[in-house]
Amino acid sequence: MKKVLALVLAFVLGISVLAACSPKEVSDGGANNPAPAADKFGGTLTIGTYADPDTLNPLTGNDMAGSWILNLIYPTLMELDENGNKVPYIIEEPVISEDGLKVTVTLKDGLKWQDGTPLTSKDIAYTYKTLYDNKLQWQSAVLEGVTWETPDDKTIVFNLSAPFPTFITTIGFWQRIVPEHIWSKVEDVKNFTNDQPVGLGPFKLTEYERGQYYILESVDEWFGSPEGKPYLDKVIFKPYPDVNTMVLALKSGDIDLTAKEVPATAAKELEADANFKVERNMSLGYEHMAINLKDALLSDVNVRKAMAMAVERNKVIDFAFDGDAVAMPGIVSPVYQKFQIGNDLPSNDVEGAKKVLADAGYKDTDGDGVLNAPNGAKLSFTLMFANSVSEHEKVARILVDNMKSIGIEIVPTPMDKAVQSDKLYNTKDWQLTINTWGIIDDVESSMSTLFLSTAGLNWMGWNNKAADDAMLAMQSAISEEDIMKNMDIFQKEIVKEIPDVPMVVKKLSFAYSNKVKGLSIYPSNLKGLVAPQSLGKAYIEK
Amino acid sequence: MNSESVKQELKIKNKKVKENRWEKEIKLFLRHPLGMIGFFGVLLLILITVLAPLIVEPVAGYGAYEDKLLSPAAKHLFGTDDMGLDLFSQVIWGTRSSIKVGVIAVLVAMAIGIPIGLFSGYYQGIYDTIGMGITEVFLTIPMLPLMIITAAVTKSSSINTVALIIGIFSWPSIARITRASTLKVCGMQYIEAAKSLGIKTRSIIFKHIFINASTPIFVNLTIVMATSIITESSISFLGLGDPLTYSWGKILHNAYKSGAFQSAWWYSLFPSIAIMLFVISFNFLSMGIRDALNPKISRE
Repeated sequence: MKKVLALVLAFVLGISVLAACSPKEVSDGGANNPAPAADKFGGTLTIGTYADPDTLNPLTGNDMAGSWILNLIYPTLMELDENGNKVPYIIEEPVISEDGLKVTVTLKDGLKWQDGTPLTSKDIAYTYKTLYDNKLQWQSAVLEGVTWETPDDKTIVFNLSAPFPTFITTIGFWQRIVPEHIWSKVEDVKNFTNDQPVGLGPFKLTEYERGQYYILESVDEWFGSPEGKPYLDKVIFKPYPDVNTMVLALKSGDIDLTAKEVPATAAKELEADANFKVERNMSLGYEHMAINLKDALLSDVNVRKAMAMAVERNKVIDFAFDGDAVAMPGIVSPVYQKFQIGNDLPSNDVEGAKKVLADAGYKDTDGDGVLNAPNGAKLSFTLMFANSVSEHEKVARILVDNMKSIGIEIVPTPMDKAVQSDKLYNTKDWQLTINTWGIIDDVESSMSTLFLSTAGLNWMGWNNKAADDAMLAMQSAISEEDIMKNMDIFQKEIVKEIPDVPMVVKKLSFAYSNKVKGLSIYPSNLKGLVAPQSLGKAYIEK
Repeated sequence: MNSESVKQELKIKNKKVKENRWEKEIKLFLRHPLGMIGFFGVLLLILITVLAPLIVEPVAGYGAYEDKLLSPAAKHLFGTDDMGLDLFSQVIWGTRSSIKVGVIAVLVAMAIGIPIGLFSGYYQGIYDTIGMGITEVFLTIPMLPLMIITAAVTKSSSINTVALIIGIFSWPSIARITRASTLKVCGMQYIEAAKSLGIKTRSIIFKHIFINASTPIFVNLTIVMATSIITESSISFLGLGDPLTYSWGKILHNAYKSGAFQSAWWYSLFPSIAIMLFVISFNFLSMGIRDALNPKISRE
């Protein structure tokens, strides 16, 4: 099997939960003061999102705004629990054979599609085959070299060509399942708009108007709800392209809940207001500065090392994230403590950084305050960031100061998100960039998605044989020892070569009106308060 | 009378007329209350621009954590922003950026708009069709997507680049007005006289037509100055301006993106007042100048 993408960015921003964070019921309504059951039913919950879904097609949809809606309608095999563990959703616990080459999955009993047709293992087989045949999404690469059969209506068995312990948590978590009896009649699956989705979830889409609203009504039967049916009658998603406008809408009562995280300052304001509640979790991704190793000056590891040493992460946390972030000492987020094995990048040391540059022959030969390479080239770099991400603009301003202190000039360049992506993926015309990795799950297999020399997301152009081998080895490693050994090799190569400067892990804040009860917070902003498990139990206090 | 002496006489007459006219117009302007308010407003802004280094130190980067979002007080007259930096300094130095943007934009717009307007109006025919065609095309190009594209193709989004772009897209109104008043002046007898006397075309266009057609153009320039600040503010507000230069629009952008738009009222109030003052001053000034130069009013 080719390398696999166990990490994913959910395209826009990220997911989150702190490994240490304990499960909690965020609403105080249920436990202390149980209302009579009948009172909980009814009511509409209006949710603010940041955009329309890119599509309602669950096989091609890839953005977060779409995932929030589609995840309420279509099921995946696995889900995240409140602690960030991957747990079965519509299936029983998967069974992995001893050699790691066979994965057996059994469906839960009695599940039916929203049109009444029973869910069978053939639906899963159909979905995965369609995905693979049409090369849809990054998930299709996970199925490379995998075959599967359906011995009966409830069972599907996957045969892998090499051990891949996180196979089912990867594809099972990320790939939504569609009903074969409807989708097999669709001619062009890739471009199908799916205006009247038939799914298997707590809610079904009944009406929508792009840019205005998406109305979902509850189903009559839902196994995830305490009383077998969601309390809410309706859930309405309303897009607000600007997060500050969304906060104002929450304050004015136009929406009851924010699916997207709100800025730290706004969260603090809302927290101080008795009418609102704020829940926090940690991003499962992180904020970072990537370096284009194809650039003549940046290809010198001394320049990259000095830059890494100049970064003041505490200032980034204080000013760009208003204190709501945690510093990243190494390439793996502190959320995944298991993989914090002491391979930290050089910490903030301005004098040390100056020395690294001086020893490597960089001098300010023209007296303009910016260092020059031995060939005279100025150590001046453009740093691009998306103008829509206000935190990144502040990070850029801090980096300008940080790099100035060691004689490197940074030219901050805001641009439209689409332009930034185009430069990273297509034109490759960039030097430094500030970005967010949305979600990094299954760290042992996900690092290859970012740093393997052939990975699509490796814009840095990092090519390191030892690290490549280690990443592939830890992806297929079965024993813990093997994983950790290769993780160590990989991290040491990162520290030695610094293709990327990780900055901080963001704390995410989600706000809601306190008349909404029964919500639970799930990891990341992909799930947050709007995971099906959370909305399947939520109710409006009368 | 030979042609040389006619030319000489024309020159002397011109000069005399001008001297008298200016005297009358200055008097008229001084009696125009709004014009005077605008004049003093602009004067104040220019003084602030020139004297900024004497008024307050510029700020950059970030301040102290405990200085974040402080409300106005003696130490920070306009309060502080979410990076812990003094807003008074940002607004004062923002005046400099704003005047700079305005001046660059106006110069660029003049350099493109006036020649196109003059040639279209003077030569007419095919030149007019082409000149005004280009003008129309530029008027229909949407500014914002262009800004996004520009951010992609230019290496930096410095304040000069932004000003340049605003200038490049502000000239059509100047070209139109220049053409209109050129057409008017062209029909006058003295132009015909100048032509028949064999005066060089270049001289006719720039000396005789442009000077006499310049009143509405000048009024329009002050309006371009005012709108260029609004445009710069919009661009900065969208986060596409120069991240390191404090302009008023940039401060507003920072305020909105800080998430404290409602609670930290001082963050957005002072740059808004500054923008208002700038735009109103230039608009009033243009009203004063327009009324003073308007021959109908002068005759009264």
